Amino acid sequence: MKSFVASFVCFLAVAIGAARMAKADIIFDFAQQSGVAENTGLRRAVYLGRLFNGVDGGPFRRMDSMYATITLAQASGVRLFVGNGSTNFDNALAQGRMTDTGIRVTNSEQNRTETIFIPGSFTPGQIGPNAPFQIDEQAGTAIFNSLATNKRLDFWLVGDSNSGFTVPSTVGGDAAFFIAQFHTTVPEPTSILLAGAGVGYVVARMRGKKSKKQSASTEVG
Amino acid sequence: MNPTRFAAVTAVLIGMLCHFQHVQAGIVTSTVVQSGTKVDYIGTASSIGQLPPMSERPGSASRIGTFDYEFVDLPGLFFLRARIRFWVQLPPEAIGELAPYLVFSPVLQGDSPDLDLELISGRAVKTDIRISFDLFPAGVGIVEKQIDFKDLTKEQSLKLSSILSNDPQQRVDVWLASDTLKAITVPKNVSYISVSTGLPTLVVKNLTSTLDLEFVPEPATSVMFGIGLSFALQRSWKEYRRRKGTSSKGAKERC
Repeated sequence: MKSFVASFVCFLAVAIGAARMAKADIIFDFAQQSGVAENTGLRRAVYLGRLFNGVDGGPFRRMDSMYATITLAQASGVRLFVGNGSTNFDNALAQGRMTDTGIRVTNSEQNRTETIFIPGSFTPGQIGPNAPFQIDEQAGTAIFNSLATNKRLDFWLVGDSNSGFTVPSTVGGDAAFFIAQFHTTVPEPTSILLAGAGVGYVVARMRGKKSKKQSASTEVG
Repeated sequence: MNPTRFAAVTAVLIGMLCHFQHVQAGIVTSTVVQSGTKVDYIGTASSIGQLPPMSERPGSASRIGTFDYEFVDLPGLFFLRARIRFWVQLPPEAIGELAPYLVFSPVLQGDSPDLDLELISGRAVKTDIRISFDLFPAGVGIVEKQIDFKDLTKEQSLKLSSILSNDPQQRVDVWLASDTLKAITVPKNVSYISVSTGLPTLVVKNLTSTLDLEFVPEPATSVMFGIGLSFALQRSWKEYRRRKGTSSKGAKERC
């Protein structure tokens, strides 16, 4: 009975603790687009800019989904990368500092410089009216870890080598901005349950060993 | 030179001078919404056999716009100079020989017309008017570039005149072409997120371009005008002399 009570108390403590740490969160930021391009034989990468300066994502999380708003022209299947590095994209990618979000950007009209809402319009700081773009688990974890480590995220648009897409930094002297909003995850209930049960089991075993030792020493006495 | 000829030549020169002065200020202007059509381009092919498939051409050509004019006496005009104002995003390497240049072509239909083919066939013509990244205002963004009047060669002028003459609405397509650069954008319109009001706001702008052409009557017309005037003056002078001679001879005979 004592073991059971101990496991239950531990489970509750872990569950409450985890839930407090893993409160679901939305982080939102915007900055002027950089538009500086790096063209190599492998790809053409255009630096969008840096967001979330000084932001700490907290422990035990990953990026679950996101919205973005980007202004660009003549893009067709351009990939959005996020990570750590404001120059030399190829190098950053080779060192594993860049993560593909899975987002692909295409201009609806090739003769216009357009603001693209990904995956559709959204209200900053909230979810909706369109559902956010779902980031796969591995990419979401990598993006979150990059933010947790560096307390900032660098954004890049990447297309084929010599592709002609352009990203304006200004339009007629007025700065052009991009926006990103990430939604972090709450650890799923099953994980919390397993973690709690595991800790409970270990504590129970330790207590069981202790009581066995005590009873053995009593018998000797 | 006898007085008759001197008077005739002087009259011709004054006449030609007046004629040129009258038309030297001839400038026509056309302002249109930018086109934004962009095609792959090579610019160096001199025959169809040298022309690679569209997707393998290393450069690009962006149609700035289709400009239209209303000339009364178009076939007799010689275009001296041109200047343009338009919105463009250029890459920083578009400087010097890499700066894109203007091409005049007939109005081309379709989403991806073949500008190289038009050049090879002689229906379009390249100009020496280059738009450089470092031409003020420079920057990684969409900027409004304006160049001063630039000279057109005789060939460019004649080709432009031919393009305008052969179009019922006196229209010409003007392209911004680069043999090697793809990342050039001449947008039809632009939308972007601005925070000038403090909150992110979507701004939408339509973009226009203006092409000015400076013209004079073509030299052949001026020469013909001068020769004709000279003949007329000579004839009238001779007539005057003949009449004067006849009248003085009659007076002598009467005496």
